[in-house]
This record gives sequence, structure tokens and C-alpha cells, in this order.
Amino acid sequence: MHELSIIQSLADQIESSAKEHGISRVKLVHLVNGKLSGVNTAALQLSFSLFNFLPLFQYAKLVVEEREIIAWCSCCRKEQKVGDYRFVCGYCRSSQLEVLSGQELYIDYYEGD
Amino acid sequence: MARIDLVTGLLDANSVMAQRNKDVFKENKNYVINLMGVPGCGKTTVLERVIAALKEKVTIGVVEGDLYTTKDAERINGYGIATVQINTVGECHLDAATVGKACLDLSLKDIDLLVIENIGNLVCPAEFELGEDVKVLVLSVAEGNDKPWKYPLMFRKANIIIVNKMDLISYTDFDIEQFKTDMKEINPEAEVWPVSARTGAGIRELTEWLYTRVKRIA
Repeated sequence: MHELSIIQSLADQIESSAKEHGISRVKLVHLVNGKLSGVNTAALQLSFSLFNFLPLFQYAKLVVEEREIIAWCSCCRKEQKVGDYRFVCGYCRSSQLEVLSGQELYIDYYEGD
Repeated sequence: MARIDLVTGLLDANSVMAQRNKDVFKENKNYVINLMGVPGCGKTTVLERVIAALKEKVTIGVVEGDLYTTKDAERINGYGIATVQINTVGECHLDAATVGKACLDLSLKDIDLLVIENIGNLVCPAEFELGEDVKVLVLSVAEGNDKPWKYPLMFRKANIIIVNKMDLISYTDFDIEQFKTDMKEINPEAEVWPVSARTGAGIRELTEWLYTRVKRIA
């Protein structure tokens, strides 16, 4: 359940940014979570809900955008989605896949006033 | 209502600390292993075997991560190896800052091989870089050969997979060939080393390989 420490880090980052921008109520946090990040979206939501005791996050909603794993085959030079964590090219069956995206885990933006 | 674009990673703080550790390890010429696996897979026993085989040849240091106890650190200390204990008190993984702090208690400049034994867990430790050179995952045959598909991130991130308790394989349904085939799909670069820490089978090959890696750096 490392999602709790990840949400703690999210809360810290938004708190310091909100102070800078004079924001006292966060309404929405938009997070991007790649399918290869190893972080569970449902556990993120649960952890986030525990932070509503802070006035800054009392009315905040967390939206998590999940991103697929996209890879590029250095053998046949085709870009493709990787399903079921099978890193084998769907076109030429080589295992020379370079992951282009899917590992990301970041706060895209937040809204508040 | 204002919209603030942050675009900051949530593991950035750990990555910064991991890089700091990496710099310190490089300066001290330490070859660093992040040793992972579930509780009971044999991480500590494999480590004991490696220590017994290499302690006359290289100076070894160990960082023992454990939830509450000092049992593993006591085992390692029995070999006359410099050991520091980290008790995470419920936290399911080690992070770079904690490891960096623990290493202050070791004389890193005298150490060739530093082994960080992570918390027994196949999920969380995968995401937290510690500044290591290599991620070694211990899996025992009793856990079953379907684990790569159940914990893909861990198997994707590991550089070396030690398949332990090979002496028990005939009592299990573990299919080592299927396991190797699956690993080629999930992480083609990973090396698979079948061993038995109890009987010592496969340990010599493993330690010889490790020794050449350590010598390359020291």
C-alpha cells in the first residue's frame, strides 16, 4: 500500500504550489498513471479520500487518467500497444520492444480557487 | 477558478535521493545489489551463501530492511559482516532516503559489495530506486511459475532472477521451462539463475558471476 505515501507526496506538492498561487480550495486534481507504473488507481482514490480532513482538499476530486503501455519495435519499426505485459512485437514476434510510454506517474494539473 | 499545470512526477523526490546514493556508491566503488522477493523465498539464506563464498575475497556490507525485527541482521552479523538494520515499522518498501541515511553507519569506502535486503514484498519495492547497480529478485519454486504475470512490474524491473529451492521442485508444479519462456516475453534482458540455497546447488556459478561484477567496479 505504497499509494498512501504517493498521495502524501501529491498533497505536499499541491500544498506548496497552492500557497504560491493563493489557492485555498482545491476542486480537482488530474493525475496521469501509466499501466506500467505499478501504482493501483483504486488505492490512489482511497488514499486521496483520506486527505479530505485538510481544508485545502475538503472538496477536492481526484481524476486519474490511465495510460496504456506503448512500445516501439526496433526490429520491424512499428509502434504498438502492449497488452497483458507481454513485451513481444505483435507484428514480427521479436522481443526488441522499447517502451515509449506507460511508466509515467505524475500530477498533470489541478484546479481550485 | 484557476487551473495550475504542475506536470511533476510523484516519485521525483525518491529519484533525486536515489541519484545521490548512486553518486556516493560510485565514489566509494561499491557494487550495490537491491535484493527483493516475498517473505520466505530465501533472500537471507541466499545472502548467507553468497557471504560464505565471497567473504574472504571481497569486503561485504549489508543493509537489512525489515518491518519490525532484527532477526535477519543478527543472522548476517554472525558472519562478521558489517550490517545496518532499517526497521520500517509497517512501511512496505525501502526508499532511497532511508537507505542513504542507514549507509552513514557503514564505512562505505572499505566495502566492495553492498547488499540491500529489501522488505519481503513483490509489489511496492519495484517502484523505489535506491541507487543500486542491479536488482536481484529471489523467487522460490513453491511460489509457482505464474508469478511474472501476477507481478509484472517487479519481474520487468529485475535484472537477475534467482529461482530458489530447486531441491523442492519435484514436489511442486513449478515449470522452469515455462518460466523462462514467460520471462523472455516480460523481460528478455533478465538473467535466470536456478539455485538451492539449502543444498548449495547453483551457488558457485552465481557467486563467480557476482565476483566478476564486483571486481569490475572495485
